[in-house]
Amino acid sequence: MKILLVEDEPALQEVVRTSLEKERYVVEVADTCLAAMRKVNAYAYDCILLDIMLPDGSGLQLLEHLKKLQKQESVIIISAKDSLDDKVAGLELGADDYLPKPFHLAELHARIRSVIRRGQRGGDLNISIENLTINPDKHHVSVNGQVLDLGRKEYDILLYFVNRRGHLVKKEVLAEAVWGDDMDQADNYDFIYAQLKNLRRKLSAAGAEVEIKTVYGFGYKLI
Amino acid sequence: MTLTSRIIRRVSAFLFVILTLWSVLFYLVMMDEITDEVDDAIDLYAENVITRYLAGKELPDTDNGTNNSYHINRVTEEYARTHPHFSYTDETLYIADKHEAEPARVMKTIFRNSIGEWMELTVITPTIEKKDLMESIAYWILGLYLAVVITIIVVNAWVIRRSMRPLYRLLGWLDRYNINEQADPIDNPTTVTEFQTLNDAIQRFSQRNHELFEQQKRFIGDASHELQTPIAICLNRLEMLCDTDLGEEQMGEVIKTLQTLEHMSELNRSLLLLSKIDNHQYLDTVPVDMAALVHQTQNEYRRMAAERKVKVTIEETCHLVWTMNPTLAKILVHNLYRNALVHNLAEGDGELHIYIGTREMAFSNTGAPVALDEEHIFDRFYKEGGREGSSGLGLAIVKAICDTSDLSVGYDFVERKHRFVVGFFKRS
Repeated sequence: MKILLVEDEPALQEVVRTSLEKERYVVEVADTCLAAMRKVNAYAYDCILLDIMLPDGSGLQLLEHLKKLQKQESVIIISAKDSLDDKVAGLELGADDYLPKPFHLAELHARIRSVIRRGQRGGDLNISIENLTINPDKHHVSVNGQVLDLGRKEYDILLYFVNRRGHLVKKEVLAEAVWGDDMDQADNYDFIYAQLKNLRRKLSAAGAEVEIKTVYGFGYKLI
Repeated sequence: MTLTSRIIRRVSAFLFVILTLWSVLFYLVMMDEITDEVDDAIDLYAENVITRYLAGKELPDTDNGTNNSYHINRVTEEYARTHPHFSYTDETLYIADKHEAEPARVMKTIFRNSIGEWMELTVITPTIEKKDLMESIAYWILGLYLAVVITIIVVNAWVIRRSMRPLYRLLGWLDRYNINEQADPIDNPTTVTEFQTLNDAIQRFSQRNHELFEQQKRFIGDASHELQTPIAICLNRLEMLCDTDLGEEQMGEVIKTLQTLEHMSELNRSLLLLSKIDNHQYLDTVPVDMAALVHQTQNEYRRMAAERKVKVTIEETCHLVWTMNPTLAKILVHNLYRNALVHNLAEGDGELHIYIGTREMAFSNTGAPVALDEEHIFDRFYKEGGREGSSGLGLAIVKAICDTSDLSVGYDFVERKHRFVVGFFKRS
């Protein structure tokens, strides 16, 4: 998988690049709009991570350029400009997703996985890890071909972890992602424990080879 | 009180005192002069009578049409010795001809006739009535006073209005002045040096104020914006650290640092939002149904309310629609709702009542049993009880949104409930 990272801030460039390379992506970097245009003219990428504010113009120009070239690259806009206008403009110009800075790396990986999946296979294919298979369209989970009966929240949690395999997911982040925006301020996370307990029980009963591990009580990780 | 009326009041009071003093003085001087004249006339008359009497000539007729009357009496030597030989007194005498008592000047003089007897001549002459004079003077003074005051009012009003016109134009300009906007140049031509100086000074200060205000706004916006990327980098580096094999203790420290950083990022986002609201970057407006928004928010916060055991009731008396930016409307309701939940009773059994009326939307909730500081509650970074994790910007954002959307917002503490009321009044 080849990813083009268009970002002018060297430190952020390095962090994102390192993190992506750990996920075994091939990462190319461009720090200006012009450099990015040259790269997309010459090569094809599976996904482009695009910062809106670049020293020589707006990242939106690159989007227009891609549209003109009729390229099918998936584009995720990453922007510190947390404004709705940019988001709307970007999505209208054909970006696939929008991620405001600051973002969690795990979130970035999940989004990349998701847009690549959508872009490459029309978004209609199963996700498989080890012996676990998920069909996101049908909300269908199976282990070794045997259908697993999961509650709605249990399914949401599992899907969230599958998209962030190998990354620590903090309780607060999980609560916010699965239960809604307000839950990051919850006083206790009992509701997570209950759901997780059931999910783990069902996974191990079905003989799944993946496991959601607790990390010292701070969060969880799917391995 | 306007400048004109203040000047007129003061001038009138001052004139009143001056004219009163002047009228008293005028009366005294007048009376003195009149008495003097009368006394002179009596003197002359008495001298004439005595001369004629001593010469044995015919005395003038008492009723001679001059109003003067006199009589000569013989007096004892004892009387002559104990009384002054000339005396003038004011008396009120009954005048038979006129059938009324009239004030009169009475002169008494004692002299010796040719055979050495002591005689006393009394001359009476009616004088003017002092009371009449006083009244007359008082009337005229009052008349004069009124005339002068009316003249002063008219003249002042005209003169002040004409010569203060530049001042009033300047005041009008100041009234329209808004620190948020680039001010129009002051169009106030005048030849008066003071006003010219004032014009220049105000123009300069307003310009400077506006620039400082803009700079400050830009600085806050830029600072928060510039901070966003370094914070993002820190967060991401720590997250990468979390994905490695850390010991529990190290992981704990990293997670705590992450939490602090996330709080910082949250703060920063709120500051950015505030500066955007202040900079009027949310311009597009649509009619927003407040009740629908409240219900939607209630839905989103359902779990949090349940978690905190807060009973939420919504009382909707009418269809409240306001034309404003939809994003801001959402943030407004969210912040008020969240505020009411977060600062509710910690031990449960809390309540949140939302009232939607024709002119107001009120959030009242149970909470700490003391009223908050009304003056500062909407200030930035105001924190009551220092709740950890609260940015202190939620209500400042509420206030900023209300200010830009022609809404009013207030706080009160009634029956042990904290109440935030957003007022929807007709736009002027």
